[in-house]
Amino acid sequence: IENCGPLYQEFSMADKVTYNYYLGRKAMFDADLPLAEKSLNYAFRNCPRDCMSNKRRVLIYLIPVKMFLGHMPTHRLLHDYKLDEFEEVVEAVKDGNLGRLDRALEQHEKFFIKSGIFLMLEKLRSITFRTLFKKVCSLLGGSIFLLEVFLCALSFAQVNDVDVCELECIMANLIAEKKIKGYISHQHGKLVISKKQEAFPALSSISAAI
Amino acid sequence: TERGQDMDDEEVNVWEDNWDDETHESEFSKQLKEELAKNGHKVQ
Repeated sequence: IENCGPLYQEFSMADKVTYNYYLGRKAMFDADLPLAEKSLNYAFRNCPRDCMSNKRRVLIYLIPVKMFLGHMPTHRLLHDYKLDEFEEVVEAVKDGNLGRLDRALEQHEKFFIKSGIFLMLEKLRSITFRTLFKKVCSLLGGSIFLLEVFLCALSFAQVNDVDVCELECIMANLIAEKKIKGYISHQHGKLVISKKQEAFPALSSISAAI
Repeated sequence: TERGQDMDDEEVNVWEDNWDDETHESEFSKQLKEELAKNGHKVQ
C-alpha cells in the first residue's frame, strides 16, 4: 500500500484509518515508535467521533506509545473512553513510583495481556526509573551523586531486585538514550550529571528530535 | 477529508507534555524526601 503512489488518495477514509491502525500496531511490535505514533495518531484523529468503540481500540495502542514518547494521556481522555485501567499506570509513571507501577500492571494484567500491550507497558519502567532518578537529583541538588543514594530511593520505591551493577546498567541505558545527560563514574560509584544543560530533558523533547 | 493538525481542540488537548515539571509535590515525593534524609543523605 505504501508503494501505491497517488492511488492512495483515492482510498476511502475508512480504509485509510483501518490501514493506519494495523500499520501502527505492527510498528509498535517492531519497536518503531515514531511510525507507530504517526499511524495510530492518524487513525485516532480521522476516525469519526461517533465511532467511540473504534477510537477506543486505537487508543489502547496509542496510549502506551505516546506515554513512552513522553506524552501522557489526560484524565479526561481515559475517562471519556472508559480506559480507566490506564489511570494508575499513568500516575505511577508520572510520579516515578515503580512499586505503584508494578501493582497497577498486576492489577489489570488480564486486560493488558488480552490487548497485547503488557510488554509495551513494561517498557514504561525505564522512563519511570528516569523520573525517580530525576526526583532524587533535584531533592539533593548539585551534580555529583553517590550511586548508593539511588539504591536507597529504589528500595523505598519497593524495587528490591536491583543491585548496584543493575543500577549502573539502567542508568547507562538512559544515558545512551539521551534521557539523562551525564556519565557514571564506575570507579567512584557516582553519577555525574550535566550542569550546563537540563540533565533530565523533557521526554517529549527527545522524541521530537528523533 | 483529513483533519488538520490543529482543527480539533478537544482532541489536541488530550495529551500532556509538561507533566514532568509540575511543581506540586506528590505524597510519594514527600516520603522519598524523608526517606533520603533518614538515611543520612543531605536533602536540600
